[in-house]
Amino acid sequence: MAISLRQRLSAYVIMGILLLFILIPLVAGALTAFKPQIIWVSSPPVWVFQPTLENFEFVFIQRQNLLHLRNSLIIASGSVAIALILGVPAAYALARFRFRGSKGLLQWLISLRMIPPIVVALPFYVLFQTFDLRGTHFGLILAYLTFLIPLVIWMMRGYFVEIPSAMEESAMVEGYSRLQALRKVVLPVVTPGIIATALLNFIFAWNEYFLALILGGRDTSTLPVAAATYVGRARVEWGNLFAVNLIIMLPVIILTIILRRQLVKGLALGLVE
Amino acid sequence: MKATRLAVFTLLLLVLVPMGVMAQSEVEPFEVTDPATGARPFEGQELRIINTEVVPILAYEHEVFDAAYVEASGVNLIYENYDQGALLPVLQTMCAAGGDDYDIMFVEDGWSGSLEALGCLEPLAPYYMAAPGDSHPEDYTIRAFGTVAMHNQTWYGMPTLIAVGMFAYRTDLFSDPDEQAAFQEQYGRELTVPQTWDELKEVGEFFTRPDEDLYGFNYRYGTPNNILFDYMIHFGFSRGVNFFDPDFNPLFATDAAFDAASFFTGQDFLSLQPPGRESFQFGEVLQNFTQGKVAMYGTESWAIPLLLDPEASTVADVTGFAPIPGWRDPDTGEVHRALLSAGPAYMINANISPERKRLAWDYLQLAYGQQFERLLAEQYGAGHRISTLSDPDLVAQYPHLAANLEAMKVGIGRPSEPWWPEAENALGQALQAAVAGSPVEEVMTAANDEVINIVRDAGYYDNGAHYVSVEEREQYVCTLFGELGLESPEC
Amino acid sequence: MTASTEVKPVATETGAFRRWLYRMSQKYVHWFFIAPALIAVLVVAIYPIVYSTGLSFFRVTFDSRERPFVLFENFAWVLNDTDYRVAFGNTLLYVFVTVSGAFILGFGVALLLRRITVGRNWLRLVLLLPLTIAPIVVGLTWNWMLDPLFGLINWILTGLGLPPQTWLASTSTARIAVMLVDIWQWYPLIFLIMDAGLSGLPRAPYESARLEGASEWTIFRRITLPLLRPVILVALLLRTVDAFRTFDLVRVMTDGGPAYTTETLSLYLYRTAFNFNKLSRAGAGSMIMLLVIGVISAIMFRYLYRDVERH
Repeated sequence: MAISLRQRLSAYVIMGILLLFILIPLVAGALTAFKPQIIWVSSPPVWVFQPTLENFEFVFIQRQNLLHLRNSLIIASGSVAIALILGVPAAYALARFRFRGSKGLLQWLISLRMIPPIVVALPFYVLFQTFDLRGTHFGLILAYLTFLIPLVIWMMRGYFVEIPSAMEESAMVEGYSRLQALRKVVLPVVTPGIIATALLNFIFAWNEYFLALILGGRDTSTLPVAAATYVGRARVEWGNLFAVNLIIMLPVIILTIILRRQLVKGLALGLVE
Repeated sequence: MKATRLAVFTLLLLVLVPMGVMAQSEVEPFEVTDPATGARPFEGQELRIINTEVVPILAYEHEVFDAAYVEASGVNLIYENYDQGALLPVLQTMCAAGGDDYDIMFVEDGWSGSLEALGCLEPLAPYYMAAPGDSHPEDYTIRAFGTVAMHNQTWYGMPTLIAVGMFAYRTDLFSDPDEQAAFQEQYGRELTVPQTWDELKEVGEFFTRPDEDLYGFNYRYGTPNNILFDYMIHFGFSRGVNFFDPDFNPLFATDAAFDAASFFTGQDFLSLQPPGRESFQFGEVLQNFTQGKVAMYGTESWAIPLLLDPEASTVADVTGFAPIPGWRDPDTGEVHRALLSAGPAYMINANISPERKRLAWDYLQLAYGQQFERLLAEQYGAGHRISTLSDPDLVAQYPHLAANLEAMKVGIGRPSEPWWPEAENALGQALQAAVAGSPVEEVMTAANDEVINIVRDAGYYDNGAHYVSVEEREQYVCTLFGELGLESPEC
Repeated sequence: MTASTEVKPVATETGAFRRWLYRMSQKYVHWFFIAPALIAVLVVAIYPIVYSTGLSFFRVTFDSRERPFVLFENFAWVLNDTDYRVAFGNTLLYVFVTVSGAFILGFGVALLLRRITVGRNWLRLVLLLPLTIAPIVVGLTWNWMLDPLFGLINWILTGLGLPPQTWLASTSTARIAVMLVDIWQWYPLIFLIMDAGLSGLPRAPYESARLEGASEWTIFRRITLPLLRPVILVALLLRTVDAFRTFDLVRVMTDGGPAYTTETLSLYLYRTAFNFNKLSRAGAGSMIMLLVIGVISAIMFRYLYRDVERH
């Protein structure tokens, strides 16, 4: 492992520049969340100021964004859970059984993810009207499944392919049914994979904006939709926007920190060989 | 001239008014909530409103009006707030299905045509006849009322906002003796708030000092509908441009339209505005003014409370308002001003039960009535009614109210045809292309042709549809007021 | 297919039926696993596609009660529309630039991280941050950063003695500015996948190559790249699929402007359907888009699976 000092040094320098690019907007934005509205924008920028919580007070008390946080939590975790429940067995079958059209089915499933949200939005709009799903969490969960299920199946299949089929076969010889074998023998092995899949899907569902905008009502609108309201036709309320953004980012970051090891392990497990 | 116009009106009225009257069914007199008598006929009921809050003033209204109405009536208000961009499709889908999910709908001035076609709008005249309450429709300027509250001859809504163009400027700059002296020296005349676009160009040039981070003024060139709006609102109308002739032929390839567009998109005019203007929308231009980067600013009436709020603007205490400049007629020397006015109204869903309709009217007549609007004006310095905008006490407290009223009188509404957004987009794109350097006449002519296609596509030429002119619209309002037994000084 | 089990012959009718049921259930067991997901997909994905396809052969608006059949009128209209063609071109360019940009950056960072020994876990987390922000907020944050008068970028530029720029307002820079922000947001996804891929590589081939004195570049080209090929294709495919759907970011940053240079298909279709009330034209436009995306993904799939099979 001969890496020269110069190479190593330049690696640190490049990484340092990159970190600046990532962190400057985030830190500057986070600071703005604590600025009084008169200096949300200013030139030159103000770096030293008396921090205030009035933006948070505004978004949480006056605009009740806690409700949106609740909606986001229900919809994102609900849709990920359902996508996993439906997708994991399908992925397992696609990995284990070779049947006519199994490859085509897989390809077809992942290409479903490419459907532009606008194609989905219109029919759902009508569907919601017919079945009175507008303004329900379930409606949005259903809509999110369009792009979550394909990803779940596609990622999970990668993990199941890795597991030697001898594993559940021997379990089945011992009297387990296939379903039991899947549950008690295979799933524990692919847990990091499930966690990685769940986390990635959670991020997609958590940050989704378009469908939530078109299909959500007051009782179901999510945090990204709430964030967008601070950029009204009238003006941009930067401080309120960044205050909400901190709330949007926090759960994902916390989850990523907690599940960091499983995430990397899971991704490595499924995607390499 | 006048005689032919009159003849056309009479003819139209003869044909159309009976149709309108026939369509309006009678409503028996009923009792409405009245804080003065303590009448609470709808106590305990629920009223469902589908809504959006695009500009802060709407939120202030709900804060003030709803609290007062709920206290007076004992009615529960239930809101469903949508994003403004998603609301029209929601309403259209609901109406096409004959849905009765909401009692009151938020309807922008351009939307009523398509909702009327779906049979979703309840005419309000019968309710006024049955129980006028505090509604006072004659208390609005007829231009604004015709644009916002009516579609052609029928009264459908109570205005929740009447947005008209306003002109804001920095009083500290204009009253600074050093600036005045410098301007006098440079241009040989006094530094005054500009009355015409040519004056504005001079003053703008004078104040454009990029090294001091100060620019003359600021418009919105950012999105197709913004840019078209600002073009028409401030330059087109006052230059004599109109949207359509009576047969729906678009008028954007006329000399006047080219003239106004060349001025508006010309480099020497753009260079008086802060860098980045090609991408600016409301948020950015407001931000630039409130942070003291521009000397003058063309805005809309709803922005006034924000501009006067010292927590939102660094120049709140030195912000003054004036009428928007116009073009000086070379022959008469008169300044010709005209501007676009727009705004939403609350309308009643025609598909709900008669009892619910009466409840909805109860809310409209009181919450958006004359008394409560005073509360709003006292607190936020904003209002839409003549009585508020001309009230001596209020005007003394908020001098801009007088300018607001003047602007309302000359405000012209957008076409409310269902296809108008598409036409607006085509025209706005042409203006953006002109800003980016394409020849004005070429792009405007192409856009004009595109609008012709859009109108033809909608079947308007085949059906011989008639474009309602500003004068006709005024006449419709006066006719309505006449039928209701009301008098407006403008009629 | 399975390792199991002899069922003793049972003479009764119900026994034969049960045996048949059992055999069938063994033969088609995979469908029991797949069916729930498939049914869900049929509802949430196929129904919308069928619906849109249906729309595109009729003339439909939000406020229409009659829906006349017009065959290919909408397709012809959309294909004739210059705006649609421009949006299509923009989208293809957008996908190409942002996917390759995110790939180069993401892979590069993953490689770079292997040379860094201090605080690698925390670095990983920070590098992932842009992925955790909602795209709409990313767009707004960068609007704020790039603001011509108040933005930090211009503040830094003028601090360095460079002229301030109007990134999103100029037809020459708006496109690239939006694409760079897209790369900023999505490179972490590629990084995440490539980082996992790199950490799973076997050591043996590297050691023997080093013994033979191969250069770093040769090792990278001859060993790392071929070994990572499947991972690379997975990353590229996933990103390409999502890049075609981009809406939020462009919507808030430029909304297609200035002068239509950043208009993408998603924006165009949104406008056509929701602003212009031309549902069936939007339907036709999406069908054409779906076809093109389908072809592109089919090509990528062939590469991906040829590779996996060889493996």
